[in-house]
Amino acid sequence: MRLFKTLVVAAMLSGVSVPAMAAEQPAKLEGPALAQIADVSVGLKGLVCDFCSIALNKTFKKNKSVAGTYVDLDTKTLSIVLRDGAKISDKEITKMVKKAGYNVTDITRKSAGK
Amino acid sequence: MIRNDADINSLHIHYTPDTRHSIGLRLRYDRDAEALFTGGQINRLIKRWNEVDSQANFYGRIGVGRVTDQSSLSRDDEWGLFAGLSADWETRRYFISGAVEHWAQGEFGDKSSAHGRLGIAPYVANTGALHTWIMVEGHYRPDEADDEDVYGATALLRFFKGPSLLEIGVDDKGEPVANYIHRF
Repeated sequence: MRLFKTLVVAAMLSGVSVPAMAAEQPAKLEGPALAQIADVSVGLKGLVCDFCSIALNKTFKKNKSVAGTYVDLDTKTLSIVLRDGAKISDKEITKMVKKAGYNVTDITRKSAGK
Repeated sequence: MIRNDADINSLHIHYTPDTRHSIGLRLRYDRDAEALFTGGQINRLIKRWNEVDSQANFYGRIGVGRVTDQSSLSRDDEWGLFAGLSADWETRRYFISGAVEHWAQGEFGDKSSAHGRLGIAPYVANTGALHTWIMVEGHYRPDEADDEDVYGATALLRFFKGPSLLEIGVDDKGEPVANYIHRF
């Protein structure tokens, strides 16, 4: 009986502690949620498959100003989240998109100056 | 990339230093010739056309290596060379491609081939989801010893998710076909 109680308490504690620990983890900058908080949205030409998104993510990941990227095939958009205080120019974005093998149609920014 | 059909087993491992080039190792076992090619391969993206809803590409590739006998005939090793051109056009719904290739393998025989492929996606999936394609491939191999093998067709299902692409199919002689690509 004592063992049973111990197991029940342990199970309850583990049930509580897992979400609590998960809440402490910083949110990962990836996936469609990233598009909601993106600093820059880049319209693209030539986006037809997941290999395209891999090429773009890989290219932008190398840039020190970039905290995260997400490529949405439906909206043909590359969303970029910048690191705190970091800036990236339209020219730099266009150059990186071209390096990955694609073309830019338009660039929109959440706030001016980034 | 791993490619297996009734005539060929092929493995291509390559590194892409930039968007336009890749360099890698190519292994190709020719069942008819009973010969294994082991060598280097360079691919070049000669031209890409990007449109809002489509992409088209024109590629070239060359390779050089050693061809070794895998039969009981004890034939001497030979140098092998190959060159090819390919082009494709695709949207998220439709796919068309074509390729020509020539292999020079000395005593093991020279071979030319042409391939064409049509594909349609029954549904259009977004980033990271499972993409599915129904494809038909036709080939012309004029140097095949058996007349029945000169022309051929293969029906394929392509499954594509994230960095992995798997194709399974069957050719017009009932032989299975399996291709796999993984991008790192």
